[in-house]
Amino acid sequence: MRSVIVGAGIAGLALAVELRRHGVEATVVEARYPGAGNSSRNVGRVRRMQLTPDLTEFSCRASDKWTRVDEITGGRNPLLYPTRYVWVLYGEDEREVVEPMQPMWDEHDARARVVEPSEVLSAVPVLQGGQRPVGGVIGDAAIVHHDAAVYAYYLFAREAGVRFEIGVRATGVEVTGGHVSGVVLADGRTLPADAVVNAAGGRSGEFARACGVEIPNSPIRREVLVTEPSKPFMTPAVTFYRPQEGWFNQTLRGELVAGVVDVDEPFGMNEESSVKFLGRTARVVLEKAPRLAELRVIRQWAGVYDTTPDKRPLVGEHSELPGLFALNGWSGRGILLAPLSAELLAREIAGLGRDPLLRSFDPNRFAGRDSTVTAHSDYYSGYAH
Amino acid sequence: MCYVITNNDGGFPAPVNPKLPATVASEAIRSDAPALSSSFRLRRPRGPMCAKGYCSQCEIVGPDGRALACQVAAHAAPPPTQRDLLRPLGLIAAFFPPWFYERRFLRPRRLRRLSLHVLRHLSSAGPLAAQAPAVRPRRYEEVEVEVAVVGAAAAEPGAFVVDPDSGDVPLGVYPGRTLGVLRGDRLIAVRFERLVLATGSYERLPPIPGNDLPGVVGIQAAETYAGSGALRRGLRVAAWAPREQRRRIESLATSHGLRLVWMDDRAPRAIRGRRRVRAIVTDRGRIPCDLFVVGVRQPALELALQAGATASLTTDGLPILALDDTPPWLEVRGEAAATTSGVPDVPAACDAMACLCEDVRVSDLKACVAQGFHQAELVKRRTGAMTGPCQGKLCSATVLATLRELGVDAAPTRARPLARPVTLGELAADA
Ligand SMILES: Cc1cc2nc3c(=O)[nH]c(=O)nc-3n(C[C@H](O)[C@H](O)[C@H](O)COP(=O)(O)OP(=O)(O)OC[C@H]3O[C@@H](n4cnc5c(N)ncnc54)[C@H](O)[C@@H]3O)c2cc1C
Ligand code: FES
Repeated sequence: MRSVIVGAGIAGLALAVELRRHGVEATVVEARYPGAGNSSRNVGRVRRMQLTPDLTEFSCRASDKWTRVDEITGGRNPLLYPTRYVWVLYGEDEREVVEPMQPMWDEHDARARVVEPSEVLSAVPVLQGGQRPVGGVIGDAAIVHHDAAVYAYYLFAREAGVRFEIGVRATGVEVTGGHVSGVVLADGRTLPADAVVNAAGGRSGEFARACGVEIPNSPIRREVLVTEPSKPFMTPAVTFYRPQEGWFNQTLRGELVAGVVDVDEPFGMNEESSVKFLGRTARVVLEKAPRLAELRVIRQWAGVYDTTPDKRPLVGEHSELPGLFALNGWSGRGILLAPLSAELLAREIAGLGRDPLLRSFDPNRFAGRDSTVTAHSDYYSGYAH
Repeated sequence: MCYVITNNDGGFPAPVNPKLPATVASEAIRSDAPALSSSFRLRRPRGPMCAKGYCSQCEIVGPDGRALACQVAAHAAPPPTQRDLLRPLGLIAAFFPPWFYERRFLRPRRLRRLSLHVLRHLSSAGPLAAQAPAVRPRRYEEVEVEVAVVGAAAAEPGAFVVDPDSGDVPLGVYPGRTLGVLRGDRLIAVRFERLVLATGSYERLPPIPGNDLPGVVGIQAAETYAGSGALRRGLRVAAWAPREQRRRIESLATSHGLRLVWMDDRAPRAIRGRRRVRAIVTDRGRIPCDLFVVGVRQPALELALQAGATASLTTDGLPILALDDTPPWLEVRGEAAATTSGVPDVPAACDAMACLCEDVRVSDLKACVAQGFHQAELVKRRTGAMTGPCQGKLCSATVLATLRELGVDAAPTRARPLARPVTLGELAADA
């Protein structure tokens, strides 16, 4: 059994390592360098609670999986930093959405609680003096150092005999008798393969199209800024959705990373930073946490969320083209979801059957639907069903 | 090649009257205690280097929170006198590669959670101020101009001129021919047809041991400190500079009564001292000195690179990053367009500091490459080199030149905005 994985992000690398555990040959094709995509552009949050039962169940298992990544990668340390997620509520309407979630979270051991404003302020003292929250959700979470994690997988994959084709783009697949038989590279070579996995991140839609398969996976830009380090002043990962989605936290190194989204951000591949983002993020974050004002921003960058209409990933084989597998569509949660998804997909590729945990991630679930556009939506309406 | 220094004791002209305001940094130099801060990992003493606020090596905790000593008026804050109590930890850290979190260090696993929490607190970075500074969001504006210019030296009539020396802050060049600028109470996205950059240059540090010691300063910095009366008569100065900079250094020495004890275009073997520069070691032996002036320059290319220009390491003499190609609508002038360092090459010494901000030594780069990281982008993320507060201004040339010596693809890494650090308070805008 030979497999070729397109994309050396966290998903492709994790899958390569998992496939080797089943004795499947694996080659990873990467157009730029390992981690060049969103796996080095994100903020590495791993949280248990989600807004739906299926995603909450999966996320709890996926969070547990993260605590085993060091073993899986031969004792390398992905710098998984256990902390709490503090989801700060500024609108009464938000409380109405999250309060009914409590029993569901308890059932799945999501370790999350809806809390009063005073508890939010004591969990995140830098919010004091800022806009007053109406409440919050505090849950168990971890922050992983994305580069440490990517390199743990990358170094171990090489040790485990995974082959790498770095600096060359995959341009499509070769099909023989209705089944995928290889991957075509931009330099003209074809790598023979019984299974080809599309783990191309923001370019997954593009690569699928090049293989003749339409998948509803649209990239949308997400920007980040980072400040110079300072002594630890907060441990949790903070997120809010009013007046618009934004988040910030302090890294292990002491830097503040932050981002506030543009509600009118258009869909499309865009890894470029903008001026507007700086002004918007600084203003909105300081409205919430005014003490951060003296931190000096040293750099900004952008990545994309590869987003599906129902905000769930595509994990599994395309029925239209046997031998072509999807491992993408993370909708902003690939760091959290990829290691466990990779483990389960590797079992599937190795012929051990499909795990029921993957039931809502079927890549063929949109077939026959009238509309598969990914629409702009408020977080609560977009992610709650 | 070595320039023989005559003993010019006696007959000094009177020191020029200080013209520039004294800063915490200039006071530190004047009082012979240039160590102002502690480096991030190895906790090595660090002091003012550029005097212009881009090297970020002189960060102190001032009266209004963290500040760069070279930008704070001397009377506003006393120079920090505290010794770094955690310095011994730095000596231990020196035995670990920069990715010290790998395997061994954080074993056993049970302790990992604890050790991550503890490690965070060992950082030498300053604390957050207890009081929130007042912030008034700026107005966000988009303007369209024919020509945008960065650097007053290249000002053209009718152009939108961004002059960092008079308070404008260029943030970066963005796609769609856009320049981000802070000016007055506005955050401006300037759309231009043509861009002219006269962004000047930075210190190109020699790749030798001791290159990060307090007392290693750039030539502009030495002039600035002299101008604020910080360089006392008789101060012993060693200068490493290309030939065409010698006059400049000599005239600085004569006008301020400095003793030029050594000047050459070939870098010495090492700079010595514990908490500050005490001497240099050359082929001819040890030469005591108080200040090591760097006259070798690295063009300031980040805005040009963001605009889509390409650059590579030069091949004659000590490598610097120099422009190869620029888009047709971009023009780079002055020191930023320099194409040679003008000094002979010296191989990077293992215990030289490659990246000061992140405490990455040449030996760490070698270890990283030996581990199989064969692209500059990977080495950058793996070691943190070029990602510190100066964003590679002081170190890109050294890091990339070292990588090239090791046979690694040394194309410059992606240059991202911001061109220099700006506080969140200054950036906030109604965008
Ligand atoms: C700002 C931001 C913050 C985020 N925060 C979080 C978070 O807190 N928690 C979380 O769980 N997730 C987060 N994410 C999402 C997460 O980063 C992604 O879901 C995850 O990195 C996806 O990994 P991947 O391996 O699928 O894709 P990528 O890392 O994007 O990797 C895809 C790789 O494929 C390569 N490639 C593409 N096309 C081809 C081709 N044709 N041939 C060869 N190679 C190709 C690319 O060069 C790239 O290296 C965030 C994302 C962003 C942008
Ligand atoms: S010296 Fe500042 S980033 Fe390397």
